[in-house]
Amino acid sequence: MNAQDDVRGAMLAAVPSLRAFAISLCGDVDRANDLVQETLLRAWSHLDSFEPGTNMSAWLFTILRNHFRTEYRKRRREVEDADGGYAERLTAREEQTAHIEFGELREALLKLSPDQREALILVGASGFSYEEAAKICNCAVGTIKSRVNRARLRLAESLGVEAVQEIASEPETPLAASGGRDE
Amino acid sequence: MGRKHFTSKEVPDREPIVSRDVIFTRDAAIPPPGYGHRGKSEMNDKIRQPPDTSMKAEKTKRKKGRLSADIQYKLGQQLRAMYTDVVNEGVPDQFSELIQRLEKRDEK
Repeated sequence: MNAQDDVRGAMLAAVPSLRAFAISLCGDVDRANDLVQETLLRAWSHLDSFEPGTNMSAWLFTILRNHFRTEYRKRRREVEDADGGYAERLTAREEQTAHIEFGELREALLKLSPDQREALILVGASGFSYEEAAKICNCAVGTIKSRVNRARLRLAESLGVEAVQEIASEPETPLAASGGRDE
Repeated sequence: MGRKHFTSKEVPDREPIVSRDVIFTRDAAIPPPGYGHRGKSEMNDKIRQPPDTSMKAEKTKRKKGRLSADIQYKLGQQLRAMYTDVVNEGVPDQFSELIQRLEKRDEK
């Protein structure tokens, strides 16, 4: 009974970060919740394959990640412009929720390849070590490192490019524009 | 007035975002020292170039090996803030209920 309480507690404790991870991966709250739900169901029915004493959270992240990848591949085949679909849903989410301030960042995240995106989130936001992230993604530590590095570069680039474009549309006032005065 | 496309109403709304998300907004057009040089002078390529440039080869032709520590820090900060934003929503009822259902089912 105690062991079960522990498991339940650990699973519930992981839910908030699982959701954050899932939303970062797919850019869609509803779909992310589905991913988390499926993860918990799978974890529950495979509890025997969880090694007690190891990191429950990392185990759940692995399940969620694998499930997402399988689903992603399926969707890729079904819908041709998966990215376009993400972008639309992302916009819908922005309108619905109060998370607008991260809209640009989320959009840029979704432009990364899934490999880069998951690596960057795991290391840069979830707080996993490179080694843990490599285990979750089932690849070498060096691979994770270079994916994170490339992801950062591309993210900065795509965010930077947008900012440059914004300025380019107001050629007369390149610097004053940032002050926002309009008199 | 007509030249700028935002209305006076939009400006105050946007201000705090501009100052908080420094690198994601207009300010990003002014690269911090180090960043811009590297982007333009395309020679700093002693840093290992990842082989997988296949699909984005076109876009990555302006070579940048590494972000400045400053940009990297801010990027990390933003990522964590975005992430924490969701984490702070806690555990939605649907998940605690799900676990309860699973437990009950197993008890039987």
